[in-house]
Amino acid sequence: MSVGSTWGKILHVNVTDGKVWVETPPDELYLKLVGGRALEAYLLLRDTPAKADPLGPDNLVIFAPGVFQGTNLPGAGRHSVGGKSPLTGALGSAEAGGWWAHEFKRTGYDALVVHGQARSPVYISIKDEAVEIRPADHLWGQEVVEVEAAIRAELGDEKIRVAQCGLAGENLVLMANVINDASRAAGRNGLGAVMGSKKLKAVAVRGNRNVQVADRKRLTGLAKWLGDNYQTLAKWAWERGTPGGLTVLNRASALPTRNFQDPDFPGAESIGWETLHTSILIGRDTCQACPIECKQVVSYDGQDYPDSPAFKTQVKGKATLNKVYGGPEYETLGSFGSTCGVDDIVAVSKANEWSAAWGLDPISTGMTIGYVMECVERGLLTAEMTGGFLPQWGSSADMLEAVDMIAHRRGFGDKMALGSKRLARWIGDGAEQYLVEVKGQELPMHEPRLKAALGVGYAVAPVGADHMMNIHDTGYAAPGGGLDRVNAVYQVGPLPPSALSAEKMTLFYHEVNWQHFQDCAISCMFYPYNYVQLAEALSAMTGHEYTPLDILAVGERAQQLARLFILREGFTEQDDRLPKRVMQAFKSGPLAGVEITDEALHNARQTWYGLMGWTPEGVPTQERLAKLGLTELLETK
Amino acid sequence: MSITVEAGGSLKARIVPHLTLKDVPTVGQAIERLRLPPDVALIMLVNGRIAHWTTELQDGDVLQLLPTIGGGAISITTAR
Repeated sequence: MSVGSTWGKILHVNVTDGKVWVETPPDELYLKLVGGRALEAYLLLRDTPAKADPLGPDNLVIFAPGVFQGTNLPGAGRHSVGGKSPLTGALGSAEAGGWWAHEFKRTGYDALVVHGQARSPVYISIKDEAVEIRPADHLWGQEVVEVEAAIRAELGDEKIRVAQCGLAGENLVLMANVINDASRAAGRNGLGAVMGSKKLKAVAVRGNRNVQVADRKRLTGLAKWLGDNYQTLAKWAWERGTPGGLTVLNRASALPTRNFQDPDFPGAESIGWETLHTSILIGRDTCQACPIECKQVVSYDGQDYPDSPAFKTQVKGKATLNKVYGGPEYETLGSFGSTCGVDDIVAVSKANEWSAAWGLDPISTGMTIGYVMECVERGLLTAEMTGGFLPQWGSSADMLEAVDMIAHRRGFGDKMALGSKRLARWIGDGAEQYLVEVKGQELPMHEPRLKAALGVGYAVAPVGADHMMNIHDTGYAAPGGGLDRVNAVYQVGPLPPSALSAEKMTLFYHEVNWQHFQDCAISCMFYPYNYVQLAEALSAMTGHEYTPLDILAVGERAQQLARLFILREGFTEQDDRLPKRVMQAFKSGPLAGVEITDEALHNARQTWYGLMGWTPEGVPTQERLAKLGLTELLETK
Repeated sequence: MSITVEAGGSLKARIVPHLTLKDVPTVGQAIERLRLPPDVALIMLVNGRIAHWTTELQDGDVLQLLPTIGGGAISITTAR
């Protein structure tokens, strides 16, 4: 092993015939790709045929930590899950926190690639380097915590960590996610359905092998710096967590409301952090080696909480909340809350709980329900079409019923389970004009009319609309923050959030490469690390020197490979678009009159294509691929 | 000239209600005067409309500062 913090081993399992083999990639693969998303895109290009059925045996499901996992670096309690997305037909690549990644890396493998399609349900057990494919018929249809408990019991080890598809994945819901550690999700792109299609219920891991960091002493300094500074530099995360910004975003017309139609959600206070904090929040949770504890944990026994004036629930006495599934984060509060016009924090938290218990992506699920509510309001969906299910804006009961129907594919849920884009095609009659998606994936809870380059990021991301492999323009509107970080490689001052100038797109180029790097290495994006620090960390771990520009090149490699993959699958620059609804100005509120024109979007996209070394049609050039050292790697089979 | 500053979210604890600032020609100069903590990224509104660092201020303007903490608001902070 000449690349520190790696094992030099990728585990492959074919669940069709039970074949297990270990690939020993060249050092170059680790040094150039580092892991996570870049590795996923590379393996999909190499090991799947073009235009493979995402739910067929030729697709892969890839569990890919990166170099950082197993090292105890704070922020490294994460992994990526990849495959061809059944929701979009594009790249599927989603990350999750928790403990699974640390445990997996300590088994002695750098990644797991699952091929084929089993005849009956199975799960994969990996204990240190020993691999076993075990029957999972008895786990099929069970809730997430029951599956976790059953696997631990039958293998006789309470320290086993489990990643699994929920019953939504079993039912091939195209918005199904991959859950690990009961409350963490590789949430987007429908990868739970890929597991379900393979009849792969779970991957259970237990590792006792110590990852060998090339220079442990050099790494310790960064961990100590984080420990000394997180309470100041990540104050928002440990103090309030992601729900902390909800009411503030609403004051700026940036809380998506009723399928991105309205500039204000009157019920924002009732689903905001202040209400959460004074009613059902009972604690906070965290990931492996993380002191920040940003995760929410809620519990509810059906009683009222009179000391919180904004607390109200239409499902009082009918809904209890189980703390084992954590609690709602900002995305969930928006998708099941404001997007559906629902201001009932218990109902929203219940939908969040079901999303974990059954394995659903809360963003796409909530957005699809909001879309259905709009189609009902506009008369595009009738009782005859939906079997009598006509959900109304603001109804907690309707929203919850829809989640249940989708997960179980019950009644009209069978159609909703396909996501909003396929649903629109089925509805016809102009229903597509109300869609809020890119490449078939519904928008997350961030507003392009406030953050213009985020809108470009939605348009060009290889997975469809995504807020994490993206920038948030408000982070560069004043000195400090994101500007300090990007100034390490590009000097620029504060830029208006609405700007799509060449300066903004150059900033976007570097910062999106940085985000992709963090999904290769893999590091939590809520951490206050900068380019210099993670270049130092990667150098210390691998024993090979990386500069800030070197780690940004890793992120760019992930994007180039992802682009090659989605072009192979039939996507073109025409798919790098934004839904009209989020380009058109609100008529009132703080963003009144703020629009994104077709010309501005086109120019920004072309600027970024140029920075990526792509043709005006969005195709990577051989020159850029060669410069990044990808040509040889792509020729190796 | 003087303007009024109103804070939202977690900044309420640092900026008194209806704070008056004198002789601040731009939003950026007003914010620099306030010496805010390092992990705060801001949405800036002037008289209820979205504004930015170089927006010019007039006598009687109301500057709202909304910290965009959390919410998957990545990239908001870094080491100095």
